[in-house]
Amino acid sequence: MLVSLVLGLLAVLLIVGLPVALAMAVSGAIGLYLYGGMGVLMGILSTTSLSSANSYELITIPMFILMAEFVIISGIATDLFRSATVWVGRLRGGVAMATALAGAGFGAICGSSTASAATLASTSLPEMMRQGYEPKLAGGVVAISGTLAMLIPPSVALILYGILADVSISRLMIAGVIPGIIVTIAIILTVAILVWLWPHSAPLGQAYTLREKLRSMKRIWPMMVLFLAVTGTIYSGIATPTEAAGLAAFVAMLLALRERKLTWASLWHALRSSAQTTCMILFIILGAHIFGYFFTLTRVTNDLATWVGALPYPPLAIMTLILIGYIILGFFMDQIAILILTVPVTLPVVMQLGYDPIWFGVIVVVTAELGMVTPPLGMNVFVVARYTRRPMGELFRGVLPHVWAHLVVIALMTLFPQLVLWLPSTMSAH
Amino acid sequence: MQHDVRPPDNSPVLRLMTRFETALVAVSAAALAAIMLIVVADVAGRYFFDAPFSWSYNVIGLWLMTAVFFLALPDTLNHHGHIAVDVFQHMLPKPVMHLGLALGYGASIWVVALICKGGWARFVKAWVNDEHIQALVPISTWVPYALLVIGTAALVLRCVVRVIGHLASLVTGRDLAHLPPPPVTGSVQEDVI
Amino acid sequence: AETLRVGDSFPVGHYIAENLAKVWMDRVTEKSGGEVKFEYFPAEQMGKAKDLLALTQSSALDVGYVGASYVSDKLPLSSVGELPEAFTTSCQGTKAFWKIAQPGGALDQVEFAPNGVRVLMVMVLPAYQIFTKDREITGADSFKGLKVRTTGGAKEIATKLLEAIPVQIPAPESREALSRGTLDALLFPNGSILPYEMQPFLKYATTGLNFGSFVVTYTISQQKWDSLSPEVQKVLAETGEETTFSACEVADKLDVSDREKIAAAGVQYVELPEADAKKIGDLMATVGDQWAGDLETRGRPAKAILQAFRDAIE
Ligand code: NA
Ligand code: NA
Repeated sequence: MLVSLVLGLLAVLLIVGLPVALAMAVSGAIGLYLYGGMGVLMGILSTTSLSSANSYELITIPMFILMAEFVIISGIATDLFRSATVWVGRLRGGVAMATALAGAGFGAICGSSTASAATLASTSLPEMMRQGYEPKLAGGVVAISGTLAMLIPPSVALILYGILADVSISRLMIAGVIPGIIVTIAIILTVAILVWLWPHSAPLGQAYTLREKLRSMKRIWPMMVLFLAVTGTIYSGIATPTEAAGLAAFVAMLLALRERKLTWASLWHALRSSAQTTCMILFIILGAHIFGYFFTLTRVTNDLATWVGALPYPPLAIMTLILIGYIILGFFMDQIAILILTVPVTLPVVMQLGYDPIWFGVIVVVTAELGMVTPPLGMNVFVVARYTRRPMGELFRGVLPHVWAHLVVIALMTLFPQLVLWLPSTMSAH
Repeated sequence: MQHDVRPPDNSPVLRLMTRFETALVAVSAAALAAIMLIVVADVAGRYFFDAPFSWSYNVIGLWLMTAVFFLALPDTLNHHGHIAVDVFQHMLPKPVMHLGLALGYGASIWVVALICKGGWARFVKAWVNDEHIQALVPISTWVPYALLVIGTAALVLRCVVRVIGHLASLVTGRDLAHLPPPPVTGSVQEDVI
Repeated sequence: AETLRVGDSFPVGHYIAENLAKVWMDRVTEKSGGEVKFEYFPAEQMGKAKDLLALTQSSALDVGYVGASYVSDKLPLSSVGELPEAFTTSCQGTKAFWKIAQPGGALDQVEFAPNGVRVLMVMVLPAYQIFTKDREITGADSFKGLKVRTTGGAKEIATKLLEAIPVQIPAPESREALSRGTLDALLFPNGSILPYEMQPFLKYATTGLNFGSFVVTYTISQQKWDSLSPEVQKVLAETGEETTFSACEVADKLDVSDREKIAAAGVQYVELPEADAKKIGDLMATVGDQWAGDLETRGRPAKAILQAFRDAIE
């Protein structure tokens, strides 16, 4: 009864448009008060409010966000995309395929899906429109390619999962590599099928000589530097993954400085914007904690997990149910809030079913990627909409083929967990 | 978050509040820069000179992260940086929406004020007992509580402004409260996930 | 009937929770004839390790795990059990700490009681040892210049006294940091090597020394305590003491079997020559003095507590 009341209150507050963090904090706090009185409520409010922020491990989130800001300022993402366009040449739908490659490349240095979508939208989208691509196709591929940043290391979502699930962040990151490549290939194949079915939706590209192709590579080096700053320092033992996030932000700042794009104004903008985004994420974490403690205290999470775990179905069926639940949540909710709210509940069940927590982290993030491009709350589609000024419905339809392709990828990784687990398993072989 | 389409603040009190919030977020931004620089110096010190900072772990975790979070709270709310589900909002009749938001922000005042009150109690305790994290360089624990109290107190004020705005809109039937712009044209959070 | 909310931060199945909290709850339920029941919240379900004291004080929890080093700002003197003093087994440390921390003891009077909590159970872990990645351990000077992962103030002092470099790295990242050479050594208990899968990257380890330890307590809020009947109080307290003494024996047994497993994985345990062991022992004794001196300057009776702890070690 109390639980339904609190859930109902949360739904109402979300519908009227109160910020997600406040909606969760308010409904959770009212629930805690009604369940245990003022002592319980104050105990939780006065501990969790500080604990949601005062952790060294959390710096990866603001540092990667800051890095993305500096990368956008420096313009080096634009150069990466141009090079990819030159290399695909005359291929029909080539620029759309290059967008997927550029998304993977940018994803290798950026941990934020929406930052990546914004970067791609401001670089590849104008080029596709200029060449006469159908806006639906162009917008769809940009929105979905942005999500690669969430899967290919470094990834804010995987780091958050690692913190929540208490599993090795570096193993999680490595585990994202092969799925990231698979999703990239899936996007390219989807584009190939689309332009084969509807040749008018994408024109033939322009041919380039080998010399032009090689010359285009010249401007790739800043991205390589940044890539090395992240992966090289971790691999060589100079820094831990947490520290590498700080180094990456610093190197990105130096690159922006070298490109003569960093001004006091742009620096202030980058820092303030990163602080606000970090604050937004941590505030949702705080709200989700208050809400989550109410659930824990009332034993709902335990009962739910026990109930799902005891369902008389084979593990694969229960897993399918859980993933469908994630896809449905992804329609309406922010991906970070989904991770924080659900992982502590689902992970014990998943492990009880015999699945690997690293595998589950990658699967959940791939599933969360779908939420970035499905209506009504599809953050990446909103970003693309801002650049194209096209109707939202058209963009959501444009991304739909990629959603189907994504579902096939999720099914593949569920049936063959080794696709995810093989690479991290090689890490301990020393 | 920077694509701000709010009407300008039209009273001296609101202008002063906005200025204060900007000052707080400036400290938050400076703390963010400090985290980056300390991490770089710490890693370099450890790798090249075998001399890492023994204080960086606690200073970053306890002081700087709390500064980044709490001091950015009111400015982020003022600029609609705290994401909301704005899909259903625009389907609601205006009076219903304003009433719902007035009640929602009103309840938020209650929760945030309680957080502030709890933080104040812990600040006083930490200050009076001169509490420190035991380490080679002892780190005072009153600092994060002070940051919490300042940030949440300013957030309470911002919520009060929202409540007044939505109630005024409800009564007058005009849009007097700051609302986030609709998704297609407006303020997109560029860095979510 | 009475239902108590118990919370800790140990992962599900961790040996401390299994042998301390869970055994205690089972015994209490049994002895009280079902009169006292528990709602158990493991694995940070109700809050992080550093918040469990405050949650117990505020009645969000009735019984909470308090790790001394997580609340070194609130309970600085309780870290006395984490000092590299003259004990190596869990039971030696636990019994000495129990004497001063149990209700009425010296530490209870200056720290637990003023904070509104009562100690029910304690465990001082078997003494931490140093594990090196490559460096062969031969004597007291074998640790010079090594980057050692440490946690907390006293262990930092100890590391510095060995002329090594204390490095703070989050636990989940320590394994990779060790494998890639960000770290050269660990200041770890045997019991944490296997769960973190550190053994493939380690070659040498000390044994029979004390470079510090870790203090686990489970406390009940005084307010809740006062609301209980004298019979229930008696069952809780007696079972707490009984479980404290049974759990440390399990911890010591596990320490031996873990050491065997780690050695079987190829880590060489080195017993230092007597002169070097004594040299390290003398050096480590100064850690406590320095710790007490620092706290005395901030007005805490640390010297008296350190003396009480030393007197209690058998
Ligand atoms: Na990425
Ligand atoms: Na969605």
